[in-house]
Amino acid sequence: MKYKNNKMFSKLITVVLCLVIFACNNANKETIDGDNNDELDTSQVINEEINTSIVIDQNINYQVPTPNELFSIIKDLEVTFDASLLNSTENNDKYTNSLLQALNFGVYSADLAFTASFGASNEALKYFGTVKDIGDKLNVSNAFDQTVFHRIEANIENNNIDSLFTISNETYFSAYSYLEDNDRGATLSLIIFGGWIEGLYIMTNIEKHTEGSELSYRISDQKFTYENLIGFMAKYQDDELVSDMMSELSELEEVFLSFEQTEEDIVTTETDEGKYNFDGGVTLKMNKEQFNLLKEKINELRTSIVEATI
Amino acid sequence: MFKLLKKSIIALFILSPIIFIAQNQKECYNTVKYCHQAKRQGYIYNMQSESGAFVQGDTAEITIIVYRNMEYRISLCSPSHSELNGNFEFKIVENITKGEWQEVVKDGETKRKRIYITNEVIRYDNTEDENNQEFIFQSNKTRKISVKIYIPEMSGEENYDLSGASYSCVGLLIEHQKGVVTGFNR
Repeated sequence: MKYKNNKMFSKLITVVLCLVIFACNNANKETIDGDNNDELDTSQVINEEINTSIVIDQNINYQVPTPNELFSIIKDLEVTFDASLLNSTENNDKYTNSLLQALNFGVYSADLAFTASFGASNEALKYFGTVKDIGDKLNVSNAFDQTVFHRIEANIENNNIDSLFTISNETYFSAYSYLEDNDRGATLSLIIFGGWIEGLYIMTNIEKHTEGSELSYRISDQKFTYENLIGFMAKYQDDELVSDMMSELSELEEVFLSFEQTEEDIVTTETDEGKYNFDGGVTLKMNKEQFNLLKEKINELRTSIVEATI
Repeated sequence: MFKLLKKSIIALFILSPIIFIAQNQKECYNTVKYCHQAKRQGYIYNMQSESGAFVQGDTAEITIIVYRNMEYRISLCSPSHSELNGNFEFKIVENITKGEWQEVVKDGETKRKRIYITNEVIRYDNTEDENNQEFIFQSNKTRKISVKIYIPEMSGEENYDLSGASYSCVGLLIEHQKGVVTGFNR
């Protein structure tokens, strides 16, 4: 009996320990890491090879702007909406595994943001439906409020583009929060990856490249978001699918690292209203060759995602 | 049987603080949703916002991307520990990497080498601005910035979990709206 009790006790301890490890592991996934060092490092010398790699600090939380934020900027660049750039909603049936579903959830979400930003109401409604459908497959359907479709229809009838954009933002936010709350960070990082690829695909294909144009600078700026994307995904790189996708980015990274970089003295000024202006710092620039290479790599990667060959 | 029960209770008592800590962190999800949003001023919630669980005295760093000509509002809140509100310390920093030529002696030979130095520049420090709890800014370029947060240790009544640690749920709220575009060619 004593032996049996001891055995039961050992089992109990094992179960409790497993619970503790599980709880701690989950908690670590979403906690903002502190480095317990409130002294700011003054300088760090990096060797000549600075342009050959991107440095990720695991103690830092990296955040990635959403496609909605990106397209709210792009629509001000006097570019024309082009529906042929969207991933066809008919492709949805091809996405039969969780990797393709997560990646294309990101792709369709970016397409939705693109249509909503440019006021393409009917397209937006179609993409809302597809995002919801692929969300069901990914088991994030709880993130979608059924009333959202009624709101979209009402806004389309009233031609209310701003509200359409807001709803698109809310939808992405709901899915994002749902995955975060349910410790599905790996899935979330694949969605963000897919959305980022689609955003860059649309940016590089929407207009003929003009060196020094506003759009060209905006594309170059994606190097910053790329760095944060890698930082975000690195948290979940133990997941095989995530690490595989990170490897897919290596050729793109080489292109980003080849961009010309100029630095100006940084200046911070305060306005009378108590707001601040950040000036100076780093400017990234790409030439036509670099643009063509970036476009080629993005198109290849995007095609493999939407055609389900990745 | 009684011994087993006793041992189980002791084991749970010893281990429960760790479980509670983890639970506290889980409970802090979406804390940022409860922070005051400046919707009336036209700001839109930015998904780079973040929530987390902290022991008072902790620091954290979050790196975000700010787009050119967008206006951003950054603020912090703790719905669970109201005494923290108004007392957060934060810095906005940017890493600037600059190349410079340096002379390096190798095997008795002096060579000029291009060395890159990264300096962390503090763009804003709220402790030098009367502990202001919101920061509104606009950038003339897209850039990567870091928000470094310090959760102050507050005296007075605190909530403790079984480990004796005081955990606080903290939200870093980031909002944005279109900024003012200036310049002759704008």
